[in-house]
This record gives sequence, C-alpha cells and structure tokens, in this order.
Amino acid sequence: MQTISGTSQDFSPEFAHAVAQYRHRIFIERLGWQLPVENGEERDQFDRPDTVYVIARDGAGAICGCARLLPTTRPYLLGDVFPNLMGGAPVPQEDGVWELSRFAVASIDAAPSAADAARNTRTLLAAAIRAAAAHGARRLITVSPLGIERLLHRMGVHAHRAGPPVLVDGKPVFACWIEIDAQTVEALGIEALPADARGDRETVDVVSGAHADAAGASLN
Amino acid sequence: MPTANTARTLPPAISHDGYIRLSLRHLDELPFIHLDSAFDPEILEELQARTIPACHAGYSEWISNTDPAISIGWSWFVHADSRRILPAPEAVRSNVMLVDARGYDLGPAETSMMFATWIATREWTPAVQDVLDSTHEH
Repeated sequence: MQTISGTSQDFSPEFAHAVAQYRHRIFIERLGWQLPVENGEERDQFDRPDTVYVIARDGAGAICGCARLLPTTRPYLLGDVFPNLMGGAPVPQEDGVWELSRFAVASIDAAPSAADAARNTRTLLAAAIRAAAAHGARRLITVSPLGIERLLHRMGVHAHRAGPPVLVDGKPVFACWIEIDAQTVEALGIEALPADARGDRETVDVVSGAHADAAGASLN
Repeated sequence: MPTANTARTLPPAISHDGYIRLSLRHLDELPFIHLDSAFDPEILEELQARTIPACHAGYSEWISNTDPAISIGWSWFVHADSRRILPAPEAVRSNVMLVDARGYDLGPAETSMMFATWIATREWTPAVQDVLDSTHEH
C-alpha cells in the first residue's frame, strides 16, 4: 500500500472524482452513513480547496483508504456539527490542532487478511499523522465510533476522550484526542516527523515495533 | 500543582490537554451514572479472534454526576462456560488521567490498569444483565 497526501488542488480532477466515489462506496453504501451525495460522490461542506487528504492505493493503483484533515482554525466537522461531544470544553480552534475525519481502510474489490488490514490501517494512520504534522499539527481531534477508540488503544496510540459518548443514529460516537507525541510516533512506526512539525519538539527516530490487529477501521 | 490530597477537595476540572486529572481515591468518591450498555458484535468478534471464550460481548459506558462529567467505558463479555459477566481484557477508555499522591500523572497505560481496580468496586454487571435479559438470550 502506498499513500499520498495533498489538497484537492494537488490532485487531478479524475483522481479527486475517484476519491469522492471511493468515499461514497465506503461511507454511504457499505457503512450506511447519512451524508450528502451528488452524482455518486460523497462530499460535504468541509471538502474545501484547503482540505488535506491522505489517500492510500494498493499495488494495482486502486484506492484502498482515505483520510481527511482539516485545520481547527477554520470550519470543521466537530466544531460545527458536534460541539456537544467536547464534554463542556470549548471546541479547539488553534493552529496546532487538526481534525481527522473520513478515515477508512478498506478495499472495494478485495478482502485482505486481518493482518494485512491491520497493517494497512496503521500505515494510513501514520501517513495521516505525518501529513498533519507537516502542517504544524501537534494533536488531532476526531469524531469517532467506539470501535476506533479500541483500535487506537490496541495500536498503542496515545488517544483519549474529550467527553462522554453521545448516541448518533443509534450508535455512540465521541470526540477523541490523538496526541502526536513519542508514544504515538513509536506505536505507528513513524521514523521521523516532517521538519515543519518539529518546532520545539525533538525529532523522533524510531524503529517500527508496535502491532495492530484490527480490520476495516473507519471514522467520521 | 495541587497534590492528590488537595486535589481531592476540588471538583474535577478539564486540563489544557483535555484530560480530567484526579487521584484514584478522588475518583472513588464520585457518584457515577450508567449511560449506556449494549451488545457489540465487533467486540465479540475481536474477543473470539483472541480465543477468549465469549458467547456475548458489548460495551458499558458510565459518567460521573459532576460538571464536567468524567466518562469511562469498557468492553464486557459473557464467559461461555461460567456465564459470568466479566470486563474484557483490554484498555479501559476515559477522559481521565489518574495522578499519584504527589499529583504527578500516572500515564495513559497505568491509568487504564488502575481502572480495573475502580471497576471491581462498582456494581456494573446489573446494567449489562438488563441488556442480556432484554433479548432473553442469557
């Protein structure tokens, strides 16, 4: 699996269309989420020119994973739609906090083994964190189902709740902090964060050693 | 930084990083309300994949009756042989960072382990039993 990151302006129109179609297949068709749809594509008001995407492709070039990153200094999903998940704390609005959403690791046509799915999940999450860190993120915030929380903990990622879960469409969701710190970097086998992300934080050079064991992860 | 003893007299507060910091002793003194418990087939599948003898599984969520609310959740399963309701062997999830007697963070891993002690003192299985009884499967 290979990953690429960039804004929609960095992608060709054809590739951006393919990403939106992939999101439709996964989030609308497979997971049944109630999201805006147009011409077989899944997009919402947070898919903007400045939105950062991290896309995974398999050996044949087919999209097999996606993630979306938004700065919290502009409108984002948690801040605009789910502020109640913060447990009374104000929604983050700072340069060092980015939102991770539309995270999915799933092949459209293939059924990878559990081990491959776990490895792919870890790879995509690591790529998303690298991309966020390159934009100055020190922490991520997500709106997630409980399964993602279990997955993050099993992977050894430093993740914790912002507040109690709330039922959305009958399923509990919550706001999850993901710390981009030594624990998370080591858990995901990230060899070094991008130079822009260092600031006053030490460059971390680690050797992959953590183990993940979940398949088909997805979050809002 | 307040010590665990002085922190004990203060209501919970959200720290800059989103954690609510308090000692286990303070946590023990807080009233908790059952928020939600339910079956979760994903949890059952995860446990069975690890050869844990679970015949049913799900999650249980609790919140403190404080402002801000402390949120604690864990997975449970019904042991296939004994039919006992047990906490699943995995991390307890929360918005809490437990601190030691001097007020220093115990860290995420030890906080999760310490919650096992907290869970053992709580009457939480009746809430799960209600879920099981509601489907007449247990």
